[in-house]
Amino acid sequence: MIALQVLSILVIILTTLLAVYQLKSLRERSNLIYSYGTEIKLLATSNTNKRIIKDRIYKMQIKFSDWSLLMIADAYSWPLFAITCLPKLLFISSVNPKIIVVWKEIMQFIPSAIEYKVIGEFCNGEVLKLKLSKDAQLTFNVIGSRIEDARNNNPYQSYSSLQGVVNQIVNEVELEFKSKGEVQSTKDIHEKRMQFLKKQFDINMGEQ
Amino acid sequence: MNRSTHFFSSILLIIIIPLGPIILEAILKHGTITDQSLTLTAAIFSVSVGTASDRFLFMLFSVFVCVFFSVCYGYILGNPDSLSFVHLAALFLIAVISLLHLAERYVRHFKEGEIFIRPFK
Repeated sequence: MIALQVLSILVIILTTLLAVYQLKSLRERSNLIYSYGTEIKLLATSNTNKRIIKDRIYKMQIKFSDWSLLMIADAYSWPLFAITCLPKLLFISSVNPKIIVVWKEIMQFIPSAIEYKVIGEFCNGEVLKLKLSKDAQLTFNVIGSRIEDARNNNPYQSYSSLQGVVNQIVNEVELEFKSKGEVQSTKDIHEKRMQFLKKQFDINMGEQ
Repeated sequence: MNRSTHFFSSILLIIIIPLGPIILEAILKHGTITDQSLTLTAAIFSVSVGTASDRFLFMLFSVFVCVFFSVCYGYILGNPDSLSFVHLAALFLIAVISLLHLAERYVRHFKEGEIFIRPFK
């Protein structure tokens, strides 16, 4: 009985120590989120080299999940360019695979016949949360994962270079569909890609 | 669902509902909770919150504390004498663990935007 009473006092002391340690660690984590969130925003708005921004984000990746990085970008309103430096912009719900979160550029290449519903948005609409129909899941996975690879491997600085890389990758997807004999999918993706190129051309002409 | 919904639903499911039985007991018995209820709740609550936490030290501590309060529960069942420090330690542990987990969930859901029920891969 005395032993239990003594151990109870020990539990109280250990709980207090744990509380102090835990609160300190949570505070450090909050400060880290704040410092990374504001630093990357500042770097991206001052047109810092993409590699520097990516390096900072990779450092964050050690401590935070890909989803948390997206949420930090959303909370600190990172500029468009910094958002495209995130390591992952295609998330599939682990419970319901019909719910996905994707970079909005992917949407431009999804054939019109594919049904989906936008149910939320992050980072000022740059990243969308969607509810897909059953048929849409595969299309989004095929096109989405290829565009994700292209986005992550694009070595160039500008957002327009990123769009060029995306166009190239979608062109490859189109050719793959063509070689498989999937006429309708090829036609749909081709039309979408042409619309995308026309839009880019109009934007560039407008800038000039 | 926004960040606050995830935060409040996690608090409700991890902290408030598991503490429901002793809160009800305290209400029904005008503020008194038996040592048996308290030690049993401390044992189960600490380990359930510990496993819901993503802090390894917290989880490890909660397992040891669970074992300790399980022993206390067994002892109290056989010897109904009041163990004042055990009673105090159980109350203190439940209060501190609840507050710590509340703080952790705040950082996880509000600051990091973690999703409680349907996480993304």
